[in-house]
Amino acid sequence: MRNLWLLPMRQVGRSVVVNGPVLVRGRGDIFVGDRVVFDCARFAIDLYAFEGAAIRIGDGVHIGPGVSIEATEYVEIGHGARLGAFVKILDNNLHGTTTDRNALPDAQPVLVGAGAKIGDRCVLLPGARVGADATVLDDGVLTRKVPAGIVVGGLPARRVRDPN
Amino acid sequence: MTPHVLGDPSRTTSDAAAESRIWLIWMQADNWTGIVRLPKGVQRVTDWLASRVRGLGSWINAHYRLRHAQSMGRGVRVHGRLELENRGGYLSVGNLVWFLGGPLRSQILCAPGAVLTIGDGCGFNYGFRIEANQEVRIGARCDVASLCRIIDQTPTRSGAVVIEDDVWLAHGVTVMPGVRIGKGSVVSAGTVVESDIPPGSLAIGRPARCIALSNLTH
Repeated sequence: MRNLWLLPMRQVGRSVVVNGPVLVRGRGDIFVGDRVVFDCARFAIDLYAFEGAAIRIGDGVHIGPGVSIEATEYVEIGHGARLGAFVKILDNNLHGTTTDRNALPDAQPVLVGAGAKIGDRCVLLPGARVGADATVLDDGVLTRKVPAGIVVGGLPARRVRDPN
Repeated sequence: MTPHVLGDPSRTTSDAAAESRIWLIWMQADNWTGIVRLPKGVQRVTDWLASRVRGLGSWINAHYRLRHAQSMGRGVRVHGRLELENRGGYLSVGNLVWFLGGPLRSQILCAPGAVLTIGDGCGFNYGFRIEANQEVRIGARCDVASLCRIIDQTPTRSGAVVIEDDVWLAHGVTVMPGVRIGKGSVVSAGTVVESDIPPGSLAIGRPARCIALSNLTH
């Protein structure tokens, strides 16, 4: 094992770059593909897999500083996806909205497609599915499915026809 | 009371880096027991021991991090880094308040003459920032998620921020000056709250729109 920060992960591919602390928390399993970049020299990256949960990060994924991924069931980042700075990915609200605030609601897996670009400070909430090569602009908050190849942004995220 | 200044010039960046590295290793400690796969029964014992150690650690940490608070309730827990800058305001923290740690540090600023009260049983996730220049009141049993900002003075507007009981601020919420958030409301992720939110509603958007929680089906 080349990097101590990767030690608690279940599986780590080849040529993984880590330039700072990666907090691996919880008892779940984390699988990391080849050529993944954890760009956390300035701000730590937080991967929290609850017991029985899995976080699967594909090949060639770039993970920006301060990214936090919390999985109670399943989060998948496809091959070649890019996560900007301070992105938050949750597959569970962790609190009931209309039900008991302190009870854990059901999880809805979050899937980020291959080659998708997630902008800085985006939040992917339970049930978010970003299609392949889709782009989420900075500060977007996503709860729904995004078709492949389109650009979305805003709160809640909608299609942006002219990103400029 | 000696003012504790965040940007202490005697504190070098390498000190800060070393300190943060120690905290990050400490926070990861819950996983070191997971690396070594032990039999279930032994694991349960080591988990219990680790939880007791971390419980005591968070209690000590709370008393250290909140040493400039004017009043502090019982059972306050601070995990990870919480920076309190009290320049002569009044900070009161209720009973059983907990602050979680994470990749980013949390900050509380209290200006001279400001009043910041945190009610009983509130929970705070990592990376939030509360700036009290006049008055910020947070009620009982509120949940403040990661990267929230609560500010009671900006160059263009100012006013007391009141967050009533049982409010849940989700990830990345910004609460602007002069806002009152009603009892039991939920503010969704990334929302910027610029006007009052009635009790029992769900706020979404920039700026926030409100929906009654009783109208929601799920």
